[in-house]
Amino acid sequence: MEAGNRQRAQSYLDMSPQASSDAVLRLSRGASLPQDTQLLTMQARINQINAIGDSIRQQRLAADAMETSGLYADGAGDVRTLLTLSDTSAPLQRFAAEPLSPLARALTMEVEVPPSLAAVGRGAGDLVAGGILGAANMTVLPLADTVQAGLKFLHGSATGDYQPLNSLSTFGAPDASTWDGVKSTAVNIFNVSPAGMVYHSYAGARDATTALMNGDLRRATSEGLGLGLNFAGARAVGMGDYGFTITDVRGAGMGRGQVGAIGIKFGKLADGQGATFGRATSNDYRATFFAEYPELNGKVVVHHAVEQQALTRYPGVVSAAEMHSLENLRGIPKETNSQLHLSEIRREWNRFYRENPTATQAQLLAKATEIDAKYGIRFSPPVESGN
Amino acid sequence: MHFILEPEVAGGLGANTVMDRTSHPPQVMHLHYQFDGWLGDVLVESFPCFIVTRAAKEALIAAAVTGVQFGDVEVSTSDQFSEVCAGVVLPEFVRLEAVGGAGSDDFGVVKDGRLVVSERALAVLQQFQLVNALVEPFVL
Repeated sequence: MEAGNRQRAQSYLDMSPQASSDAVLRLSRGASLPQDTQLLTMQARINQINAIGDSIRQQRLAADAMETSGLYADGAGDVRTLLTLSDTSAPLQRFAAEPLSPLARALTMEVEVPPSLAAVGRGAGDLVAGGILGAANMTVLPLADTVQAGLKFLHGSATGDYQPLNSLSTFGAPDASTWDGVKSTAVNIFNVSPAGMVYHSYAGARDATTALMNGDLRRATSEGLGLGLNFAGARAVGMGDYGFTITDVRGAGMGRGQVGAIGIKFGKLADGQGATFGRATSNDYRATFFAEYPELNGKVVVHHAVEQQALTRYPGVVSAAEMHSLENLRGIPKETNSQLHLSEIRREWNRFYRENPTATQAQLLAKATEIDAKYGIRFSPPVESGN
Repeated sequence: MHFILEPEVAGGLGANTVMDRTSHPPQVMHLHYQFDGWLGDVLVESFPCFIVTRAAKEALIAAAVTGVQFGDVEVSTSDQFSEVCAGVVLPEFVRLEAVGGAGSDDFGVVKDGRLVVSERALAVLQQFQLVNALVEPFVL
């Protein structure tokens, strides 16, 4: 059964390099591979995945067109291409996958997944909080293992592309020399969630990361890191005009072969996007909200985008007038799941508090923006991309 | 076997909370827990504090769990609670302080303040409602 799935997945990739990665993902989901499975060679897989990603990206671009704030790409994203598209609508350029560096190749080896890590691994196809998923088999380099083992939990997969001796600063972002302690090549995108989970996307993020490190996006990336934003499901608003959201990262584990797809919503951000504060003239925030949206009175629960307890936790950072301003208020329809949604949002904030002994107003707003991006579609009025 | 337990976050630190923020996690001398909602779990959190229902506390004591002590908590409810939990009467809650070693005692916390519980302690809590907590294996 397992051999059959592996064979099918291998054959599928061999025969259909332009095929949807979802199909590959489905195959891998059915594989139920053991931890020590060896399936695809990394180099061939990267080439294949990049080709798949290009195909998917073009399909998505055609299907979804552009959203006002950027592009949606899926697959092995090349953000340099996306940057070009977002600014000029120029034709897609194709970039050849780069071969593994000699160092990476030398470091590429397979090890058994430590039982302690395997125990917290998720199966192929698991979505984590609507963002990322881990791979079935976490095959890691010893050094990478050491690095990641220090990061509490591993929910991603790691393969031979690690160059654990090189920090991210190698890739052109000297002010991003540490990334939550993870050292990595440009192949990977990592995120350490407030819960300590490492979100990891693999080949699909290859060029995205490179571009984020090396290209104009560096500003956004650096700022994103500076703000402590997460990449998974997060929306980073840079110091400049650019920002990005990694909306959906999916991968599938097949031994050393990881098939990944990444959705990136990226583009030039319009001025004023993202959560903001205004100035309220009253602390009666419900009155403020319903004065603006009288038709929603009785239909929504009003809550604060930046929670009121920020006043207690970070004294002096936000004023009461800012806290209760219309700009900081959100409505959640009174429905069966409203309490559940509110609970999810509270959990997000609780993790923020855990991770941030201190916080600036910008950090609080960045978190509110991130939450808006994740849950805003459920709000009334909806908040789809910031405030 | 121990687990990282992230309980339901039913509310937050109320305005009457007194804490020392010079360390992290902060030291909370007086806990004012303000409920914004409640999905019904007997253990709820607002970083860095945990509270449990008195019934759950009694069960934990009866099970002679280690690494935990209980204290007072001031409980209130917000306007939001009144809207989403109309008619809900909260049970009595007490503060739960995990003071044991993470991974060795029944209750402990890791460096960032997350709760670590033993399988035994988890089983006691799960005798009551604990369906909204996130549970992951704890790896030393």
